[in-house]
Amino acid sequence: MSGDPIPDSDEVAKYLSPSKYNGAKLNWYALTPRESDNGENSCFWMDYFAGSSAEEQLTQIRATCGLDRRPNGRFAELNVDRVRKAILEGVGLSTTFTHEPIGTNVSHSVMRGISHDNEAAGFILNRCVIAFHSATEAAWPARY
Amino acid sequence: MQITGSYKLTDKAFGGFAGERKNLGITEPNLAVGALSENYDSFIQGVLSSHLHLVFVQPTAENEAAWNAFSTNSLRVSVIRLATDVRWREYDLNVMASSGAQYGLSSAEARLDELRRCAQDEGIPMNAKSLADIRLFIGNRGFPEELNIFLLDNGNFHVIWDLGPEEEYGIEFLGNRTIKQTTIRVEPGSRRVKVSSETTNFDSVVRPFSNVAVAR
Repeated sequence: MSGDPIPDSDEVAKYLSPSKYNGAKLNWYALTPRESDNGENSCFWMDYFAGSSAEEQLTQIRATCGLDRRPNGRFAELNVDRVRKAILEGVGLSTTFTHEPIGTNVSHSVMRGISHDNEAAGFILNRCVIAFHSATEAAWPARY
Repeated sequence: MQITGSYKLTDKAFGGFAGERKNLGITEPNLAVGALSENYDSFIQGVLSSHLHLVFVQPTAENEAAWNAFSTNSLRVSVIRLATDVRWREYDLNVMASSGAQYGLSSAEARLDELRRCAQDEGIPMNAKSLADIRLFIGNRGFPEELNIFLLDNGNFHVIWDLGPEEEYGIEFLGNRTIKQTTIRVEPGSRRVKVSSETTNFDSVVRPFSNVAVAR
């Protein structure tokens, strides 16, 4: 149901354009919301597609997200619990993840609690990335 | 070789070398920089553009050991050049060859082109003055490693360096030779993250880039 919190054990994926990363290095604002988002940081609930592998979940997200993705764009995979704890410990902010589907974009979710210009929070988010996935093609997860 | 001006080696940068020297057992009096001063705050006459120029005043066995270590490790110090003793100029050439993989403006152009395309595709209003400044910044210096260059949503260019596993340093090019320099680090003994930043003049950048800092 729209507005339901995403379980701490679950993962979300956040789209990254090539301007946000260079190799494995992310800009401090890569995973924070844009200024125009007013603090509502769009992401995709991977485990909405239950029973699938991460790559199968990403295939579903690519098919339904509706984003204009660049060929060399990426999704960054984040664990909800890891992010919430790290942000709280690092900068004292509480974050929430809620499932807010938009039409056929069924896994669309929103991370709240981090402003667009919070570079410390962005620094922490970058360190929470579990894996990168191609934005357009299946099966090149770069886990590290 | 062309004379391009003078460089200033900062205390901070010299601190980067101090660790190296300590590991090598080099004692301070054997190593001097440029015109020599107690706090290493003197200007060094530039010899090679974008290369750091150190001078070993007394060519001793210890200095030579340091020289060899730096050259094989060509990493952090882009080039060390000996100028006081003709004999050592042979080493100069060797080191230049071994440290030839400098990241300069020509290396950065492909990334800048990619970011320009991103700006067009994503409707980011690229700041032309920021682009001019980052090109000037990179062109005036040489870096031992690829730079992490980004384009921010506000149209400014941004570069980030790792200063260690828990610390990063970034420069946002605001245009008109103005920058915002920021350091973010995890405080030792905790998971708290501390940020310090200041807006300053382009010419005053003195933070270490891979342990080496030069300011024109």
